[in-house]
Amino acid sequence: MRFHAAGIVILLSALLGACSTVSPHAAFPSAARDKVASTEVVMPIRQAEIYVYVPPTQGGAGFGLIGALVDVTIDSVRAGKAETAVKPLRDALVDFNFDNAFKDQITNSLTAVPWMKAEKFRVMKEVTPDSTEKALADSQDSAVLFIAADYNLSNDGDVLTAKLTAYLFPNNDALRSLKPPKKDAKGPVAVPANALYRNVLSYKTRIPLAPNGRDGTIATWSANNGAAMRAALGMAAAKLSRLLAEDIQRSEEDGAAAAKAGTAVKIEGISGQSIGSDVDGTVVRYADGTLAFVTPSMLAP
Amino acid sequence: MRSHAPVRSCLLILSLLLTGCADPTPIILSAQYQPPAAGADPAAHAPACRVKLGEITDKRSDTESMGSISGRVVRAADSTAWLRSGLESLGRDGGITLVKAGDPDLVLSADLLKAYVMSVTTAKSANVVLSVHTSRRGVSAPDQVYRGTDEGPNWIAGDDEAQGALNRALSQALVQVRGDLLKQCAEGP
Repeated sequence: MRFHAAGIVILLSALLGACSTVSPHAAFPSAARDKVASTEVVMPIRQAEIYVYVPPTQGGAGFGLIGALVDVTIDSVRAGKAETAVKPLRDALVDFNFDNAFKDQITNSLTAVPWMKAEKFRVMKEVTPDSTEKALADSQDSAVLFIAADYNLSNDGDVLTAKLTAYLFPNNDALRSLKPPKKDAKGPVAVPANALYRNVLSYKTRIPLAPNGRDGTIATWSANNGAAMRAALGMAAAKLSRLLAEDIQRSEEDGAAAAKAGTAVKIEGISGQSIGSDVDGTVVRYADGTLAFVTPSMLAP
Repeated sequence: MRSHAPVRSCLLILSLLLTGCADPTPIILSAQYQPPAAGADPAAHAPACRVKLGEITDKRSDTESMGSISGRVVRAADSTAWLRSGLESLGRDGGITLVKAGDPDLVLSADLLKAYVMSVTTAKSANVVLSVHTSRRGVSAPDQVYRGTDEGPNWIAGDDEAQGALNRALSQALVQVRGDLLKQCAEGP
């Protein structure tokens, strides 16, 4: 497994069943609301601590097997350096429980969506296709919402990204009739194509790069018992939870209309539309329907 | 620049051939800590610090989960037993004698706060974090947090690789614990 910002989406999709070519976003059908008798919310969070995303080395390209072996060695050295660099931040956050912070915010946001009738919320640490399949099969609720979360620092240590990948699966006949499962007799059910609702939501914030590079930047995140990172992760959990609660209630037409009325923005080179803002930042909708909440530091030229 | 994704794929296939096939089975860790080879310790010749092990607890929300490498989940058969066997190894190199009764110099209890192995690109990283509480004749010292880490290439996501990485990470934390215990004992009552 590679920790890669864009790859996380692919990975989580794969974990929820299989590699898929379905669009990352599908709005929840309004007609399905009154068929939801209850919703179980399962939060797969694989990681135990924050990590630094290390992009895979490509320097050995063109040199065959030897080049690839060299890249593996270089990857290992770079991964070791990144792990050493992030250690002070992990130490500063050792008593901070992202899982609980996230679960609390998700609970607050989704219990306020009346038609979901969400009462059961739990974090799942072992994240595999089998474990998600089993969670869906074992659920007694009419719908199961998986919200996989991941958070990491960029390789330079300046950008914090928290990402949710959400899939709501039907689990009663009334809901399944709206979207009959696509599977063969032995195939998995918890695959993106079978989700009544799905989307990817990100939170991004940036601090200035320190003159002495990644170590100095991570020292800024770590200062005062990790105050800056605690605040950022807390805000990430709050903003993403609220964004999810709003998005799951938004029709495809409303989402598209909001994007049309928005203003063009570019986040890390990717174009999107600003569709809302508050004192902390801006909500961005991308062309594929995925959403992001970005702080002003991400919008700076 | 040409992509060498096919070559990486070949490496992966080669790894899979070496291991037999793609292995989706979980890695189940032994409950017995296996320490790396010990070096000579000058403290071995000092009067022994008598330590009694108290409560050992796994404070993690999921006490089975120990991370994953290359998609293989890693599970602990008994994480508390693993930590206890690690702490019991503190008496292995001299300088510290573990006692079960009598009047110890120090009583030690420990909480497992983090224990996981994960993939980072083609490498793997293991982390073990302990919170250790010591007391001397009823007087408590401030709790101390110790982190041990281990990084290295992830060759075939094998059982021994995961077990070894976590044992080495625990070992690194235990070296720090041992140093502090010896210091506390040397300071006297």
